[in-house]
Amino acid sequence: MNTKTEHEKNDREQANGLNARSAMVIQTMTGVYERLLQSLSALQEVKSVEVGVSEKDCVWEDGHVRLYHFRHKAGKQQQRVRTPLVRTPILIVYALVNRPYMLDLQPDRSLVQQLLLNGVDVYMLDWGYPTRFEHHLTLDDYISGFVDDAVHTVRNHAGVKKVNVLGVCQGGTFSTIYAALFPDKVRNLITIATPIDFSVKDGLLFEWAKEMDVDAMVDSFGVVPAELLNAGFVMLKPFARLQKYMGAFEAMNDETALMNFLRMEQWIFDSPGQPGECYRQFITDLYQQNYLIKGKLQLGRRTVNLQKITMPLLNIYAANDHIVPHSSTKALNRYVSSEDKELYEVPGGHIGIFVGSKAQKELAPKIAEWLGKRDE
Amino acid sequence: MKKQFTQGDFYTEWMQGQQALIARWSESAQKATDAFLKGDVSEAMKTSAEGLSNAYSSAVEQQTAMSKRMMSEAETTTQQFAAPFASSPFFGAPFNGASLSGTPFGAMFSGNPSSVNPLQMMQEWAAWQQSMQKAMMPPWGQMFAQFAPQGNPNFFDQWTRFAEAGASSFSMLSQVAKMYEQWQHLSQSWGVSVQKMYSSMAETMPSGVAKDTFRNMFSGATVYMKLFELWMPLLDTMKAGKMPTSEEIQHALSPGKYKEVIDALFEFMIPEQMQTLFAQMNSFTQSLNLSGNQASRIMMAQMEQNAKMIFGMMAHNPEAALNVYNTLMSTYQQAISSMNALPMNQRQSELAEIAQHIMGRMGEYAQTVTKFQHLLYSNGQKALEQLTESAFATGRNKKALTNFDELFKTWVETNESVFHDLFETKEYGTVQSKLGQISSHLYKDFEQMFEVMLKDFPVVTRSHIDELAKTVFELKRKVRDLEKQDESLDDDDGEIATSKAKTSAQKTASKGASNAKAAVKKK
Repeated sequence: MNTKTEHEKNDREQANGLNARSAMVIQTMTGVYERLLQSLSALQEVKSVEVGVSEKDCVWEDGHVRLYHFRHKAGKQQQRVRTPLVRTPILIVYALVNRPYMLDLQPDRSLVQQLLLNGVDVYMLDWGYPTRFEHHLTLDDYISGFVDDAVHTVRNHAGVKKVNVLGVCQGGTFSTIYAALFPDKVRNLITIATPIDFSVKDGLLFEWAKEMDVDAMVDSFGVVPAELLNAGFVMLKPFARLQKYMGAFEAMNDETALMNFLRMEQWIFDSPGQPGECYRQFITDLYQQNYLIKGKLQLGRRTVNLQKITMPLLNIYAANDHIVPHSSTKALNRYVSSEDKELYEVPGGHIGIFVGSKAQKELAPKIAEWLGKRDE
Repeated sequence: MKKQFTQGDFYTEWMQGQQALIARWSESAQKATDAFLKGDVSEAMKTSAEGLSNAYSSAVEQQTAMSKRMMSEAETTTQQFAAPFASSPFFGAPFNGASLSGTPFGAMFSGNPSSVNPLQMMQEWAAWQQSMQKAMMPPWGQMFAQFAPQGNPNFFDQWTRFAEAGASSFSMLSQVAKMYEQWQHLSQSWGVSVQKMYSSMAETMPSGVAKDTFRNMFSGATVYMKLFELWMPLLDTMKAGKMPTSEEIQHALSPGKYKEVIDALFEFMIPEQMQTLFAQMNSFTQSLNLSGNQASRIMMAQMEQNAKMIFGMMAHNPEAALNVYNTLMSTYQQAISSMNALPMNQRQSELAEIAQHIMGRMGEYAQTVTKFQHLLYSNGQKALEQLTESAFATGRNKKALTNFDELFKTWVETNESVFHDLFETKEYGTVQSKLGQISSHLYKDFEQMFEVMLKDFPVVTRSHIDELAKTVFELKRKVRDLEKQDESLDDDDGEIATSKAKTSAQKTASKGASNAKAAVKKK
């Protein structure tokens, strides 16, 4: 090879190499924008996002609050119902912070469906979207009022004297307080991812709530806007959230994955405002003063005493819960008088406990089996 | 050991500058409102104008001094880096940055950047970078030895040793950096255009969830791209198994640039409450203007402009503040002559007082949000340093990061950990809580303002509705108590409550609510 040809070859190789960095930059930038364009196109096709899939009837309502009774489907599904069939119905009490359809998000991710299939009769309270007209509602109104009204209705509707109560997150705290105030109406108590001991140090929300000027918020807004609460939830893991949206590109070419993603998004941002007086007491008396554990929580003229809880207790917590640390949840078993009490760990986080595939297989059968052994 | 630049100082100085500006602005606004309340409109205008002028001048001076000092530090660092290099036996004739004028793309530095073809520029830039690296190959060999795995594990020590051993022709690399800046400018402009186009396309989406998801994906992609711009040169060099230049390291760790990444990340997480508040403020101002009252109009114009200025400052854009300031001055000049003769009425006085509260709180909010941002920036920088250290450690172990996605994942994990530690501190909790508190008070102040505006008109106000809601609530509670008593009696008799008493009680509640509504209607 003569010198000139060699030189030209080197130049060509060098020219190829020279463009590497610019190619990388352009490729990455255009790649991102192309993926955005594809996402735009896929999202344009989405007409609506269906959530809350199981058939149900409203059996009681008061203002925005409704009590639903889920239907057992006839036909194939009925045949699939496993024993034991639990005679005592279960009342699900969800948190005020988000919507209860998380428990019935889609056919293959539905705790409600799984409970029905396992022979449990399911009722669920839906708190609705409180308006400024509801801002005077207190913790007592929710627990001694709405929860008790719902229990009353379920007793009438199902023809039983006692009901099983299942509380989720803040709804679990409500259910626990209710069980302490009205132990004669609760056959079994089940709590899932429920904050009980608010003095724990391993939860960011718990720490932030201690610093919160809840009076300023309630006095100004009446009903505390969901956006303010959501901003707090988002700040729990801001970078993971970023990664979530970058990861969402992968779902755009798969309709099932896309709809699964969007259902979760729908739920996350479908947040009702918080009725002021109830929120004030929840933050002040529980997060800041930890009165539930101290036996000082006042509802109306009554003091809540956890030792009044004598019925069987199944306390379920998520292994990796970053919203309600299990140190807070587990505390319940130490304060109740129940002789029959169990702690049960489910894999996943605060949300994964309901929608994760492993949780779908484990959670409902566990609940049904546990209730079946403690039925009337 | 001297660090090349001082990240902590950068953010602290930025925060102090912002706070000083806000404090001066708040002070002048307070004086102006006091004068206004006393009926001395002329004095109010004068005080406010002077105050704003002084505050702005100070801010500009502070920014200038900060920039000069940073430039000077950069120059010193350059000399420090260049000195051992010049005497390096491996490189007898270092490149001179001035020779750029002779390169095919030298014209770009003197011409208009917007006329440059980005693709062409990228290719030329890459060619230049490559030829430069080729020319400096002998000292690079020496550099590799300095960066061997058995070296000092401290990243900054490594970095300094690397530099002292004769990194590169800093002056020339700085020219390359300038070109890179231009490319960034172009890519950002492109990004803005694309964003506008995509935003308008997203508006047509039939599903609200889909629309929000796209907005969040776009924001996420923006952060991703900003980080990519910052790290691309360094990563590319590492990927090629070469040692990065000091310029590349400086670029990847630039606090000013990294601030943009953090801004982009947290921007879409700021509660929309403040946006709503700002929209309310504008609409309120417009309605006051429509009332035709000159005093209110001027006062509200001042409020509106000041608010814009604060929001501009929060967006870290001194240009925005300057524009607002100029507009404000022009408004004053137009209106001031007719103001002196105007008397004030009771409603105006109340409005001015509330406006005073609002301005005070806006200042307080801006101060607090600055502290909040400072915490985010300084911890973001901390995470970046940890990431850099880890990237170099990986490189030393011959397991260089192979693509940007891998780096991005590590960046997310590192930041999540650093920010979790920050969020656990009492300092963060207090600042975050303070922001919520001020926002809440601001919201209430605005409501009060509307009440004052509407109180002479025959309309139902928010407080009337609240009164009605309370009456309905108390009646419902009484009914519920009666129902419970009834239920408890039934339970005692061994029966489940009938719905008879409940129906009767509900009728009582409805009647009470109707009476309450009628009472409000009458009012």
